[in-house]
Amino acid sequence: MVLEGTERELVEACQRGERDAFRALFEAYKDRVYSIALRFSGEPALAMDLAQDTFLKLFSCIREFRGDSAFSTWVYRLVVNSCLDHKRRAWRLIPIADELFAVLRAPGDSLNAVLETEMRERVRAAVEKLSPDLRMVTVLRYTEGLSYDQIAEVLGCSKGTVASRLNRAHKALERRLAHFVSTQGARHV
Amino acid sequence: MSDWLDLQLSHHLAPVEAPEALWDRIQRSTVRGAGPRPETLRVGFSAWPIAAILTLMAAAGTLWLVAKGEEPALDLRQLALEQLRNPEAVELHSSDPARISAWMRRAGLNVTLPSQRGTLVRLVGARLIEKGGVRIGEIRYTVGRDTAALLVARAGSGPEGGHGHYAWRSQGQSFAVASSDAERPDEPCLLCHANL
Repeated sequence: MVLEGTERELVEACQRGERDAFRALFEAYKDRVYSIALRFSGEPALAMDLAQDTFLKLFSCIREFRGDSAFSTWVYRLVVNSCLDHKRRAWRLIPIADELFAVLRAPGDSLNAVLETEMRERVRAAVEKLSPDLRMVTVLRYTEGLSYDQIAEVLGCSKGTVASRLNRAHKALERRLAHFVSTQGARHV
Repeated sequence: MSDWLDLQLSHHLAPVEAPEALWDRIQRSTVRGAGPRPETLRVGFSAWPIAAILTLMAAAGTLWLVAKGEEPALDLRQLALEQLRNPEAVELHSSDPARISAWMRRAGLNVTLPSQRGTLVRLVGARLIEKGGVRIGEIRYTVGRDTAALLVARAGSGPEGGHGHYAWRSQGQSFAVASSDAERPDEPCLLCHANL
């Protein structure tokens, strides 16, 4: 198996059906699984559903894991498939609120806080509008910090495809976020 | 790509902590999903005469059909359940849907299996069964902890049926599915209907 010592023991214990091992494995992967689900779906409630679905699949199929790939890659594949299988796509638009510009004139820390919140919403909305394929490479790259090679392994595609999807995602995000950044005078929040 | 975009994405798509409630939700689903298996049906002494009469009636019906020169209808669903009760080794060990489909095609049976990536279904393999001169293909797979079987045979001259729940006819073939867990008879359907 492509596993490091402790993780290998943990996976083997799960494969034997040891209950404590399931909990330990959950603890090891819960943040990664939930983060991908949240960044992909953009909704905490949906992210909970996707994470729950992923762990149920993981626990019920763990005996099938033969160690042909790293265990983390296998887990990533499960959460990616849960996300991509989910047919519902949210296309919510965050309207440009007039109030925002009023608040932008507020002084000091409150301005920064508002800009931070607004930028987070803008990024989330822009990522949400990407097609599922582009959105997933973006999330794996920026939420999990995976390399192009790792993303290619998780998604079962070539490194070139990953690079091309990321490039398209970047262009689309730049288009959607550029206006907001120029409104702020290229201020980084 | 602009530096500002890289910075924004790294910042706003950063990982987060999973809510504590996630483990509770998983535990609740696991407990609900892994409920106690039904006890084996215990047939009391008084049921034996009824069972004997039914068996005799089935035998008489079969004899009558044979006397008329007709093959008794093959109950694929029943056969699928029997295969799961007394499983025999598969001839082809494979989890590759395309390989199993190709193997079945060589036996004259046409089954197109969808990809099972990301589902609970794991293909185990396939075998051929000869029953009453009919060649039947069995595709065995697991759904979670349960074993399931899809049986397929060339259909007789009967009319094409709709998609029944566990047995149906399509394009000149009969199909039936069964699960080793009687409490979850729909589970085998996940083979082709991942969104059930």
